[in-house]
Amino acid sequence: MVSIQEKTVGREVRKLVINVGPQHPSTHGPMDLIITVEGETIIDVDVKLGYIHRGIEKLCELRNYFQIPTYLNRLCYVSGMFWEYGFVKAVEEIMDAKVPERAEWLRVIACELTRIASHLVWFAAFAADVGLFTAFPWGLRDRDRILDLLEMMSGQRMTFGYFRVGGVRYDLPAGFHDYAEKALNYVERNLKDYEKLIYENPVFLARTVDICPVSASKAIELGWTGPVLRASGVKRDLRRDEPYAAYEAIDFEIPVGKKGDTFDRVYVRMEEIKQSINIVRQALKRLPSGPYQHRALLYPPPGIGYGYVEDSRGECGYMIVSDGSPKPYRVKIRSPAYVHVMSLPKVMKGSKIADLYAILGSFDPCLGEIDR
Amino acid sequence: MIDNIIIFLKSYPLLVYALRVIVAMIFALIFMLINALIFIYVERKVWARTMQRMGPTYVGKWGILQLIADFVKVLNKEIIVPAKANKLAFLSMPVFITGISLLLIIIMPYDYVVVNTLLVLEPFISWIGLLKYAIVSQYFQVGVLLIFVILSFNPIFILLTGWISNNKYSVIGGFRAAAQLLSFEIPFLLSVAAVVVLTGTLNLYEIVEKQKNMWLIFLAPLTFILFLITAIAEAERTPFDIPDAESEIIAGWNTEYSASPFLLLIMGMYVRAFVSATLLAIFFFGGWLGPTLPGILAPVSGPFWLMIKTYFFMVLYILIRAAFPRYRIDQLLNLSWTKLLPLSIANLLIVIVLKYYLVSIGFMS
Repeated sequence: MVSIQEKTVGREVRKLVINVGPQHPSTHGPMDLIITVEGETIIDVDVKLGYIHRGIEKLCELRNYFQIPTYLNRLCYVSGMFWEYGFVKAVEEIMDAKVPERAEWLRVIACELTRIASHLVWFAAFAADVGLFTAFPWGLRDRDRILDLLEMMSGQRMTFGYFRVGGVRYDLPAGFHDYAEKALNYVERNLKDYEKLIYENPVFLARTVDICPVSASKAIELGWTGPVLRASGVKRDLRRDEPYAAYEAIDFEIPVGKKGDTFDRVYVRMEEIKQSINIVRQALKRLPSGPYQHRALLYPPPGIGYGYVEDSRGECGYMIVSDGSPKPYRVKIRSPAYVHVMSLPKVMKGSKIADLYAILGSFDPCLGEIDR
Repeated sequence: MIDNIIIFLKSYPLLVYALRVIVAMIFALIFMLINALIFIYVERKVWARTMQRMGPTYVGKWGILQLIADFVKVLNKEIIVPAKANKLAFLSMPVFITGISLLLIIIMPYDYVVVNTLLVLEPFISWIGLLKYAIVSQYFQVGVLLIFVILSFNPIFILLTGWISNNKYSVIGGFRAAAQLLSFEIPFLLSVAAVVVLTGTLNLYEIVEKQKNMWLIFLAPLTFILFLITAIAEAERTPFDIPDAESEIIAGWNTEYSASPFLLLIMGMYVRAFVSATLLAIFFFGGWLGPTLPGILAPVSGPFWLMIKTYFFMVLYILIRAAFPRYRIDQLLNLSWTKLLPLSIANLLIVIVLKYYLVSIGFMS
């Protein structure tokens, strides 16, 4: 009754081709993984993307520079701040615009809070992927506190519109420091629960340790960036290597993994949440006074700019070609999650069906940015 | 009139026996339906609290009517049969699976529970005393064996269900279930064999009566742990809910089912979970043994303790579900064949030596 494809590869083997997606509870969005299995073992994966392609690159060519960030924070709905920042950074590079000191620090705060929120959502989703549903509401509960902070900063909870060329849109509201300290303490306290739930859990360890290890050289070869690359032991972080905003003045560590397996990808992200909390605390303490935005040109002169920042998933980048008109001539978006997801077939052949979701979840795919 | 009925029935012993089984089944079925609802409610509430959610709150006080509302809602759904599935086989499988699972409950002393509870009304309604004759479960001299016979039907039916659905996820779920249930059957059987060796009987009633001096949990803790693990696996609950892994293969072997067939399958699964919790209470925690309740409640103290112990294990299942993710199927089979199987064989040998010692000092007969 079930169509079973038969192929002869030396001996008679029975293969089953399964469509995982586009509507599947564990693909984190509408993506289609066509997997070929032999029993429980995956022998081939084919990634089909494009189910929510909205043509944002083209839309950018039809809007002026003030309208564009509205589209960009919808690229990834859990880490909107980074995607605005990348664009703003590229435009500032073409303009050679100066950004006030306070704005640079506010940008750090916005980015790191978004990183915490994004990693908390990832933790919730990943835990559900391996069957630990208890952690799902926990992650979202804590993320809500962080979203409160972001709402205080920008007026929005998900699609912020906070960055603008030459600074940020709003200054911090009154009472932000107190609430931030409270929220960060809350998240930090709960992180201990998370660690107890996953690091001391034999079943969780069985599901993540030594699953899909990727060596450092292979990770670089595949073009990985961000936590996924750092899990393989490569100490590459744009915040440290090519510092932007106020990161140069901030003291923080870059957590790296040892083996590059799924557990290391979990570990690196959990440590990054702690580091981000640390960064936000430092930034709030050392926040200088002064203007939070400069009056910038309406649109940049002709030129090419590439702005890239350390997103919660990797390096997100924008290449903008300006011809001196109010609208960009071309906007090219580099999505880190796209690179990670497209390398799935290269790293996961031979693993079991259940591992597919653990591995895919550990890459933290966000279909908004992958399909653009 | 009651005397006349008794005289009439005494002349037809076979008819009496049939009537008793039928009455027992009806009682047990109603009992199971009510308990399935209570258990699902408890599960949703307890699990929600571990997640810091509220669980059901809207329907009725504390959401107690939520399950009734869900029940009615599911019944209202359309029964969808996949296009290329065999309709008759597809729709009859849930009946088989649940029917087989319900057979388990006449072996369990649930009728004892129900009848004893109803006997409280005896001073007010005279004929209710007759229900004492409806208890049949204590006459199953080989009750333990019968449980295994019935449980071993499950892998076949589940595999067939997955296959008949004409869905790839269902097939994977079906094969996973078959592999899991088959490989856990052996350690399960061996750990129960240890219980049988200790108590020297296959009758569930006698197993409980033999624990009057000391509950088996204190005599054989290793057996208890082995039985707990294998019972969770046999009931297909987390961390061994691999056959219907929600985030992996949608709903596994019951992916294609909707409306009342789905309800039947869910009911069958909860019956199995309930039965395994009852077995834990009976084998290791002395079943209905416990201090007698005061006053008018004295006759129900047995059923009361049995239910308390059963629900203790149900809540334990829920907490285990909240704390652990899901094993992978090959890790699960590894666990079963390389760890549980040698352990349960060793455990059986230990228990035999223990029994020999206990008999020699006169603690047991």
